[in-house]
Amino acid sequence: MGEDPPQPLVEEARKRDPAALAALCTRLYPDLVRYMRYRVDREDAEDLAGEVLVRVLRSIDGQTGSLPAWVFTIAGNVVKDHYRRRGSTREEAMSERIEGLPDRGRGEEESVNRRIDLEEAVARLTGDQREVVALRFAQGLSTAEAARVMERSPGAVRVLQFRALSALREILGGGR
Amino acid sequence: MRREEERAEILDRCLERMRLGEDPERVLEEHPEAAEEIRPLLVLAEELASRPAPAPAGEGLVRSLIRMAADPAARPARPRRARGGLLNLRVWARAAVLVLAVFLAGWGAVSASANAVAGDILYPVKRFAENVRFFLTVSPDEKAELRISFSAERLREAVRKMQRGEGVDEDLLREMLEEARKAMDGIERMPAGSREILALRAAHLSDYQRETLDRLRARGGEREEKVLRSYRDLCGRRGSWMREVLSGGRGPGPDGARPGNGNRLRRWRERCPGRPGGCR
Repeated sequence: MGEDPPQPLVEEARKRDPAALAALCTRLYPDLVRYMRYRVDREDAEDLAGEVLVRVLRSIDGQTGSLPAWVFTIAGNVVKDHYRRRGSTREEAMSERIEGLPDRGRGEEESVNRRIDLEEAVARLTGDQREVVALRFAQGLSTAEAARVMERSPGAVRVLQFRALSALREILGGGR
Repeated sequence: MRREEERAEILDRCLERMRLGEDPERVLEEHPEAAEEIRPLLVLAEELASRPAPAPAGEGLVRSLIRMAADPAARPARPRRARGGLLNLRVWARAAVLVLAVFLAGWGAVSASANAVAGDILYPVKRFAENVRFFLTVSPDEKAELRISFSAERLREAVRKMQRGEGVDEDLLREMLEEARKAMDGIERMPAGSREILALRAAHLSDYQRETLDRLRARGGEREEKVLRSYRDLCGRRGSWMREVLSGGRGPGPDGARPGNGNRLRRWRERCPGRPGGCR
C-alpha cells in the first residue's frame, strides 16, 4: 500500500463517520486499482476496486487488526466472485488477454528477441503468483500480512514469491 | 530444508531488508552460493515495486457508489419525515455520496464535456455526469426538472449534429421524448401546485421542440424529412396531452381519461403519445 492511512482516520472510519469513510475510500481506491490490474483484465480493474470499497463501507465497523490485510482479503474475495460470475478461472481469463504473446514452447528465438512488457509477463503467471506479486511488490505488504490475506503459511508465501519472480525472470528472457 | 525453500527464505530476508531500506547484500554475503540466482530476482522485485501507480479515472468507484446508495438497503426502514437528501440514507450510503462528491469535484472532464454530442470522446462523461446529478437529486420536483432539462439537451445535441452535417440522429430524438415523458412519472404524488407547474413546463418544452423540429430541414432526403415530421407531430400531441393535467379533472384527458385524481392521473400518464404501448 502506498502509505497506510493514519490510525485516527481508521478509528473514525470504524465509527462510521461519513467524512472519515470518504477520506479513507479516496486513499484506498488507487491502491485497489493497482492491485486489481495484477489480478483481472484492465477494463474490469476500476469497477472491481469500487466493489471492494462498497464492501469496506458496509462492514468497516466490525474491522479489527491490520487494515491493509483486511482490505486486500476483501479484494481477493471480490476477484474470486468476479471469476465465478464469469464462469472461468483466473488463469483462463488472464491468458485470453495475452493471447497475442509468442508461444515460448515454439519459436524460442522469436520469443527472446521480442520485448515483453513486464505487465504482460506478470499476466503469464499463475493466479496465485500474480496475487503474491500484487500484495508484496505493488502494495508493499509484509510476508506475514500477505500470508494472512492469502490464507497460507508465511513459508508457503515465501516459496510462491520465489517461484513468481523466477518465472518472471524466465519469461523476460533472464537477461533483464 | 529443500533447496527451493532455502532459496525462498534467503530471497525473503533480502526483500525484507529492502522493504526497510537496508542493503540486501549483507544477507547474500552469508549465502554466496545463492547470490547469483537471487540478485536478478531482487532487481525484478525492485522494478515491480517502482512501477508507477495507475491514475484511476474514478469511474468504477462512482459507478459502484451510485449502485450502493441506490440500493433499497441504503434507506432506513423508517425514513425520517420532513428530512430530505442525505439524511434519508443510512450512514454508509451517506459516506458513499460524500466520496462521490470528492471525486466529482475534481473531475474537470465533466465541465469540459458540456458541449459534447453523441460520438464525441467526452460525450459518455457528459451523460455519466447527468446520471450522477440525477441520482444525487432527491426531491421529485427537482428530478422532474432535471428530466425536462435533459430532454431539452437531447434536442440541442440533435440540432448540433444536423448542423455539422451528420444527419438526423433518431436515437437522440427518441431520448428527447423519453426524458420528457419520464418527467411526468410520479406526477400523481405531487401537490396540486407543483403538478401544474411541472405540466406547464413540460407542455412549453414540447411546444418549443415541435417548433424547432418544424424549422429544421434534413439534408438526408425524404426518409430523414419523414423522421423529423413524425417527431414534430409527436411533440405537438405531447403538448396537448400535457395540458390535460392542467384541467384538474374538469376536462377529459386523451381517450376520455380524466386527470383529476391519482388513479386517473396514472391512467392519463400511461396514455402518453409516443410512449411504448401508449397512444400513437
